Amino acid sequence: MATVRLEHITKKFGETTAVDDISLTVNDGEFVVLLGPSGCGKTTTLRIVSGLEVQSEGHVYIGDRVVDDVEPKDRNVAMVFQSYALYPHLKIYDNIAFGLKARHVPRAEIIKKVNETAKMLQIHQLLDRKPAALSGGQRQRVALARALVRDPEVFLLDEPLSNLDAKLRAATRIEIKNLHLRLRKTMIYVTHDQVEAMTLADKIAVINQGKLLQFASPMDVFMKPAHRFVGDFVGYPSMNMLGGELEETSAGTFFFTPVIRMKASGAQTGKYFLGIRPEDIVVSKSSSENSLECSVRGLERTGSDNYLFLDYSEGGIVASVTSPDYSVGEKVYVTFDPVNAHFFDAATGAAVQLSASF
Amino acid sequence: MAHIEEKPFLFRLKREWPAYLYLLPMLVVLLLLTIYPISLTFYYSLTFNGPLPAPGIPPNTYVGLRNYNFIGTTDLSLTETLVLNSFFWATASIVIFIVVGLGLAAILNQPLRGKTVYRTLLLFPWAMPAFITILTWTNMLNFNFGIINALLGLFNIPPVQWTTGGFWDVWGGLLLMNTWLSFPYYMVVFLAAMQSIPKDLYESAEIDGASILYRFTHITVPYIGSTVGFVALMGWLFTFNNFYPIYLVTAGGPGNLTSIFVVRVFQEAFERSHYSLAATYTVIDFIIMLLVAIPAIKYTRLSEGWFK
Amino acid sequence: MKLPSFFGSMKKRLKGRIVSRILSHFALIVATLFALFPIYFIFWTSILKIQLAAITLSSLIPNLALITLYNYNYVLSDPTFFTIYLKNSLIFGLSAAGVGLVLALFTGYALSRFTFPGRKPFIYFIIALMQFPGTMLVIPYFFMFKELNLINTYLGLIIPYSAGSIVFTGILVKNYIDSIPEDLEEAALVDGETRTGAFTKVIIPLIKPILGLGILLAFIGPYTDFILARAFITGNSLQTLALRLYSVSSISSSGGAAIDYGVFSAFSFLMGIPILIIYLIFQKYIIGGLTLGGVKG
Ligand SMILES: Nc1ncnc2c1ncn2[C@@H]1O[C@H](COP(=O)(O)OP(=O)(O)OP(=O)(O)O)[C@@H](O)[C@H]1O
Ligand SMILES: [Mg+2]
Repeated sequence: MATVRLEHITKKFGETTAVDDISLTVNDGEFVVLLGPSGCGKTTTLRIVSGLEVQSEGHVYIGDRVVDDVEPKDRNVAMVFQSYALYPHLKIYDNIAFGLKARHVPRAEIIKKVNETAKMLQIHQLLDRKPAALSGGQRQRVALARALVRDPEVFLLDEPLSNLDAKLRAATRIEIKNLHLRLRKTMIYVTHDQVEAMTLADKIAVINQGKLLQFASPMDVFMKPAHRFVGDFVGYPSMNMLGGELEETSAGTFFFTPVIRMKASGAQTGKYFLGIRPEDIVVSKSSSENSLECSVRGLERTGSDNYLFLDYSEGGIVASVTSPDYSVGEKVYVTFDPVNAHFFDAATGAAVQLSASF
Repeated sequence: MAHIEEKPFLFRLKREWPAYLYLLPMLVVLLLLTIYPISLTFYYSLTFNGPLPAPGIPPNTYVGLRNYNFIGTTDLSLTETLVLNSFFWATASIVIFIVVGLGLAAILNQPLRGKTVYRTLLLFPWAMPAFITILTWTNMLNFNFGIINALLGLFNIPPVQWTTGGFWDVWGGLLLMNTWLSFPYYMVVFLAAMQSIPKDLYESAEIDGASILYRFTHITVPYIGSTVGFVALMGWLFTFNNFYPIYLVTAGGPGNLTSIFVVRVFQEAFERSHYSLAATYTVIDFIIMLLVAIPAIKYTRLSEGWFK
Repeated sequence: MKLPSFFGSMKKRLKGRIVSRILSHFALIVATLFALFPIYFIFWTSILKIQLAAITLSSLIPNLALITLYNYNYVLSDPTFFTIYLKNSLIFGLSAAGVGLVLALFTGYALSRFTFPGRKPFIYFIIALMQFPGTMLVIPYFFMFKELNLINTYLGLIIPYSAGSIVFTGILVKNYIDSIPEDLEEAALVDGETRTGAFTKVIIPLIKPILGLGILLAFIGPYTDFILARAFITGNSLQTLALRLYSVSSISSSGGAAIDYGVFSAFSFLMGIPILIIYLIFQKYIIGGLTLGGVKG
């Protein structure tokens, strides 16, 4: 059984806290993506699992075993480095065979396994070359092969696609997904690319500044962001955030922003953010009840989607629209269904459940 | 739930202890062949071990600071000469190296036909072992038969007494030779530093209308300043105790005109058997070096490369 | 026809560029002549028939009629050149290089890849020790080795020669290892290697070039050493090329016995040229190492 369990893991580098009290469990065969902005501690977390870095506090379990004192070589994990870390002095064959040789696997078996793995990743015709003679995509496959051939309990992948161009990245993404479906091995995959995270993951762990903000399925991360940061980070364009206040009035509890007034209840009064995704915003050319008047600042067309950048009296809003038929300066009226509204505590960023209506 | 509660020191020690194994051979060598002999030198400087400076005292007797007293009083003028000469030798050499090195590097840093050929040919003096070329220079600087004086004759310049003449004759000859020995090294190091400056900095400065001087002071100097500083410091420390050029050409002469610490120490020890006096001068030399090197390394950012 | 002013200024700029180019070439040619002259002088006088006292400037101009191989013949036909001088220099140089290199390899690896407690003070300490005038270690060495009866023995020279190069080659190795991505070793660790295994299977193959170079540089110290050899070698059997070169170097007061000078030049050339070629081939690495390791004499 290769569950990976992190228990209150903290890692400090001098004054900086790279990982801040992260606890999570990766079940056997699960594909978990660590997602977060640059410098948030993803790589550090992965390296702690591999044993290359030792945590300052907390425990790491692989299977039922505490591995805090276990050397990387004895953890039975394989890692694909962002830089691929192919040994430049060794031929591709020897690169792939390296881990097997280190474990004293019989020669005949090494040959068999290397060839099988190379075939599977379609690099068998490259086995006699040195890494310098390979393209980026080929190197990436060799790095994957080097991990796969060992048949480890856990795969660790650190931004394995970030050095590839967009097209190759998309293709390889699918291959990795298929590989996982076929092998059903525990995989922990680091990326700062939300598309990779959404498409690959069984579960996403969103990390910011060393803290685990949400650990849930891609759909839950998208639909029910547990933290203001998650709402902001996942999804493009970002969720609109409108600062406001929940107040008790004689007519009931209301959520006020400078331009919006909603009935809302379910939490203490105080400052909150209202989050609403661009695709949940309804844009119309004529005003209606509860609509907000805006003027068009710009339109971004990506081919399939159109993003409308709007200004209203107190700020800006982004809306996703089907028709590109808007001109700059034009007056439009926006509204949204309160069901789609998310609320976050202004102080802690944590999501709160409010039932809201106009 | 028990947290791993370790001090950072122990924490690091747990991971990093093999480093001490790797360093062990080096530590043994340092201990036996550097630290112990240096301590011996200090000890010798406190003993009497030769006919001077305390005749009549049996060898290897502990005499306290007697040797220091001797070089600070009776031998004071010689000591002063050694200090001044060593400083002059190191400083003058380094100034010349830097001027020549920077000049040639700047010239080679422009698009120029054949510059790799020039660069390689200019490296020859550096690539030939100095011990050999210094002996050749000794002969080239010979007053009677030296080829340098013959070359000067070509321009109707009277022969110069390179090893026996006045201050500028002798020091001039030594500095000329030392420049020949060392300029290639400084040139290539500065050239490499200059080549690491991104070209577009110059281009954008040029478009902004910055003059050549402005570009030099605001782009070149900040970029290569620390390299020049570090190399100059290391070069100065090296030249201060550079033995062969002076020992082989002038042996410190005429008189004590070009005598520097190392040359004097070698002569006291191996030509006159004044070992304790030699050790005392060595200690003084070492202290001077530390007084220059430690602040320079500690209070500037010149030695970053050491610590990376 | 009067050109528009635009072309006028372009012409001026071109002219300025040509002038600066000519000046640059002039400076480089002067510097190159200065740099090459002594080496040419060694070479030419080593094959020149004329006695030193009779050398005039015109005899420095290459001329087939003036060439002789007498000096080389003289040097190489003396069997002691090989059986004593060259042999001893090679023994001292190679053994010192071998021992020194192993030490440098471990030192460089530890300094580059570990952040052990005490690393920084250790480096400071080495820098401080380096300020002790190295040539002057010969005095305490002399007494230490006398005590051990090692004066005028092979071991008595090999030991200090080996020690002499380790700080420098250690730093050379450290810098080179610094340039190898740490990922490679970490990949080996995850792949099942121990730290030592990663060192021998990944690092050592990758630093081969610098190891070769380290051997060369560590070799050159003893090869051209005069001080220790002069102080430690008393008998005939341990004499080295450097000592021999020194003894044939001085011009007799009459400037006569020109054989001496030609012999000196031929000797210099034979001894120096292999090193010169090696230095030129590996200049990039050597200079890179030198920049942090101090300065070559
Ligand atoms: N060896 C180290 N020493 C000191 N600080 C470190 C070290 N490794 C990482 N850090 C710091 O820890 C924090 C987290 O680093 P980490 O490499 O885990 O980020 P990341 O999420 O992988 O970022 P990226 O997406 O840019 O790779 C950063 O602030 C980084 O500067
Ligand atoms: Mg990272």
